[in-house]
Amino acid sequence: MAVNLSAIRDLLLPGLRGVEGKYAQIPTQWDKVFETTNSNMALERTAEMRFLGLAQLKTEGGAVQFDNNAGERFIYNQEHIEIGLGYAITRKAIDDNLYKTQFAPTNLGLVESFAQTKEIYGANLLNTATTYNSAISGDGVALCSTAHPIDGATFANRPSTDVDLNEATLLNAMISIRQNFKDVAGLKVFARGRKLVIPPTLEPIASRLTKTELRPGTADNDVNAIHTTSGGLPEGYLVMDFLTSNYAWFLLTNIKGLVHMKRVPYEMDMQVDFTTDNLLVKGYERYSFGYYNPRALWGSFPTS
Amino acid sequence: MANTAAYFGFQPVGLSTGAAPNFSLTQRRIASGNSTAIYRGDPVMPVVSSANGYITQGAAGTTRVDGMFGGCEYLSVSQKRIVRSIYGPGSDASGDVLAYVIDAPGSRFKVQANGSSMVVTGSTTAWTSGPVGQYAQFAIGTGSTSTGISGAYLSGVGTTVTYPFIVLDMVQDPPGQNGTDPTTNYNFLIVGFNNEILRSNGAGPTGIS
Repeated sequence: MAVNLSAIRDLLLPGLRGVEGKYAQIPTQWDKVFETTNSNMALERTAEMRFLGLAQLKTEGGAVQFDNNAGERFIYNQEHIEIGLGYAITRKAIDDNLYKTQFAPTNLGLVESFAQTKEIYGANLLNTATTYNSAISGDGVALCSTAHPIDGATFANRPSTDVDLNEATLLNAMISIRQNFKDVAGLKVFARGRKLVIPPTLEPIASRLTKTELRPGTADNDVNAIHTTSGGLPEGYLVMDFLTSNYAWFLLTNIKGLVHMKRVPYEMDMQVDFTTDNLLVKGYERYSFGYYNPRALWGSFPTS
Repeated sequence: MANTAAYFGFQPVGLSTGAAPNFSLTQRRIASGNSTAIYRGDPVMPVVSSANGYITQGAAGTTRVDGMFGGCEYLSVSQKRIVRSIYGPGSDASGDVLAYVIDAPGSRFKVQANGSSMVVTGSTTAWTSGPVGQYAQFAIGTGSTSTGISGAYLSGVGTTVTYPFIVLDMVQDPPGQNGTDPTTNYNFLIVGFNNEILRSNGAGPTGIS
């Protein structure tokens, strides 16, 4: 049913001190996790290639070894979703509303709705990082996995046993990223943790771990190794309000791989229905959140 | 993520494919002596005890529905003026209450299921079974006198052709939000009218099970 007089009954009479209900929105968070690119296709595909492996020892007078295994290994698909929302408001509800500035018929909050929806879709990639999505294809395992396949081996961006966030587990994750991330040919890559991503419930822990100069939680005078190990976490931590687990935590690395693609930017349109005189307002946006490199993320998913 | 019960009645979301929604409202009448409150998003039904054209709050059963309640106006005895409200309080009206209902036969509504397992089996991407296509019964629940919003919900699905609604889709987005897990109870569904005043022949064909 359209927004009608009964839905704005007290806005029909003068004397209201104020009209409340709109609040400041949470500042954008997804753009601190995902890089943004434009897209002009229905489906964007990113290929991960295998380059050359390690050079080999050559014996005197012997032949140089060749590595002809370079080539395509994985394809990461990203298909855009359409987001839409509209509302209808009657002619009388527009004409008789005495508080149009505060409850504008043409602006009932579509921008805020779309913004928060986008946050949810962005966070959803992390929330579902342990579930393989075959539509993405990729390397055939979930975004966060203990066994991402590479030629002749695997690498992990998830601990073998999911661990709570604390000093030891955070350091282990930072070291694991540095030690174990390899390209498809098995060469170590320059991978470093750069930002801790956590739900609001873990912020006290993250704050204690990353903001103290000395070792957290001890009476010793040791330095806080989190600041320096594997380059530390130069971007600190990010609290994401739309992570659904109160215990899962993530490390973003310096490797690009989490991407938000803009297909059609947010647009709004409106029209008056000829027969009813109802004003119809709708918003539309088309985008997608996805990934093309699991090395961009490290995640742990304890459940308690 | 498991869903939780937070009933909100029947929320109109649009019309059937091919029809441009304009969310037109039809004016109906509620008897001034009707003491049953009706909330925004409640199904309404004809008063069947006499041929007076009045509507009243819907009740589970196989009586046709006359639409979905979207607000009302009446001459208030206490305030001595026309009062508009998104729910009919069931009192204080002098003369008939004018109700505004959505009765377009192709209307689509979002509604929450109760714990009666109106879920899909299999996975969210490959359903083994599910309620889509089945006829659906509702329960009127308890509306809120604070917000005026209905507490109605779907109470079950079946093959009874005179059930008031038919399930047309499962709500699965935005991901992780309450009601969007179609594999657990208290999920959100999209339903259309089945046994409704403006639908030709009333009920549809034999339902699926």
